[in-house]
Amino acid sequence: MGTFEELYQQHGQAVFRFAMSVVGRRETAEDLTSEAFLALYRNLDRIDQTQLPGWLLTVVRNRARDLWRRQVVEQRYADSVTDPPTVEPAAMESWILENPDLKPIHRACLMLRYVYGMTRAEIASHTALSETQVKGHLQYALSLLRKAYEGRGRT
Amino acid sequence: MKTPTDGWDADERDALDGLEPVLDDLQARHAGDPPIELLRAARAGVLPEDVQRRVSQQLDESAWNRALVDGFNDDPPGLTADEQSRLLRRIQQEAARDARPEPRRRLWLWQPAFAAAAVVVIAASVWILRGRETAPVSQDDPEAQVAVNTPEVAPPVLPLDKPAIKISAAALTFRGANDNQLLADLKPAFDAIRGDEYRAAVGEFTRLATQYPASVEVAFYDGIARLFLDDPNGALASLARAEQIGDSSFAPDIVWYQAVALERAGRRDEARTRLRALCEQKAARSAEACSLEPKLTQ
Repeated sequence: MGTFEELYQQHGQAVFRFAMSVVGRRETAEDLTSEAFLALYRNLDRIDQTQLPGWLLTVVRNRARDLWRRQVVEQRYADSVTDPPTVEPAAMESWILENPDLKPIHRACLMLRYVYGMTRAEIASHTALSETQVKGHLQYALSLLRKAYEGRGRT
Repeated sequence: MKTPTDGWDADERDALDGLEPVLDDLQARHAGDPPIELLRAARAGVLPEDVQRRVSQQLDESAWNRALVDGFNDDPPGLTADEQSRLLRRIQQEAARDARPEPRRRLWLWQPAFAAAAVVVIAASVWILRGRETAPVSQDDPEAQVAVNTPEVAPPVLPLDKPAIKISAAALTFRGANDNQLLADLKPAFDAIRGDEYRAAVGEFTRLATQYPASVEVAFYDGIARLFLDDPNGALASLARAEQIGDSSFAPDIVWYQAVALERAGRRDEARTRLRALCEQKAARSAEACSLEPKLTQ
């Protein structure tokens, strides 16, 4: 049986990372992590600690679900989501998806910047990276893009 | 071409010169995509049911949207030591307040945090509904903002155990430019699975998925790794791809782990359907499927 602090040290990072993957915002991820550990604190005598960290992740998921459920705009999302494009992907789309030299984070930064038109600050807030890191990822991806399209022509 | 409000720097102007028509086309193709917040929430399975279903379907069908989510979930940042200590103090202070006879106090203290989270959601809605009339968001009930669910303490009925690593006949006979490159490329991912390094495994499989789209191993073990990362919706997307590849030697395992993922995603009816199908076969997990299916009640 671990003490509350031991359990926090053991599982805090995993719970926070999971919360980040769910909500993508550092402040909200911290709120969800706090909520999960508060729930653990209150139930410490009652839960089977072998269920950790799954139990904590479930609390995070429930709280995130609450956040979405409370928004009256939710039904409008369902109406606004369009079907994925069905025509053949453009050559650049295939290049972004299939280039083995791009890591997933390069790919995501490239998409957000050049397809969805986000600023570096907006990308940083979605990824919890610094703007400098975002800039670095973009520079790397652009260097590959430049190389690929120099070889193939630009139109 | 849509230019971000912070504009292009010299490097970008140089790299993108002449690519404007290509980017215009890409931007038009993805103008109706759900925002990243929505995609992430769908991957975590936290959206209301009808929205969840539609966005999950979009994730299943769109390699582009999957790549976007995978990009952020590949290696989510953790807490620094200072942040971890600060968060612990915050939790302890909150727990100490809990012990005092002020039952409503905690709810009010949490309001700003959840209001901030609500702003994220509202921002997402504005992003996708730009130009449309939006309904006001109800924030007039502070207690509702911090409604606390009872955690789901009961463990899942279907156990999650790690399958043995096996190789399909297609992989064993794969021939690329350098003999069997597929097996060599799979090794780091399999090593990560064996070492319980599931996040690293997902990173490897994500990289391999574009290179080997017809490999059942890549899709199946990616699904397994995601299950161990408590990402049942991500696992379901990967297992669906494994199922589509149609390798009979993996088929019963795919059905079993789909049932496991469906239960963990809260879709117990669908999990039971999978178990019933497996129960009717003569496969390694059939007896287990037969005995556990009745226990999966809503």
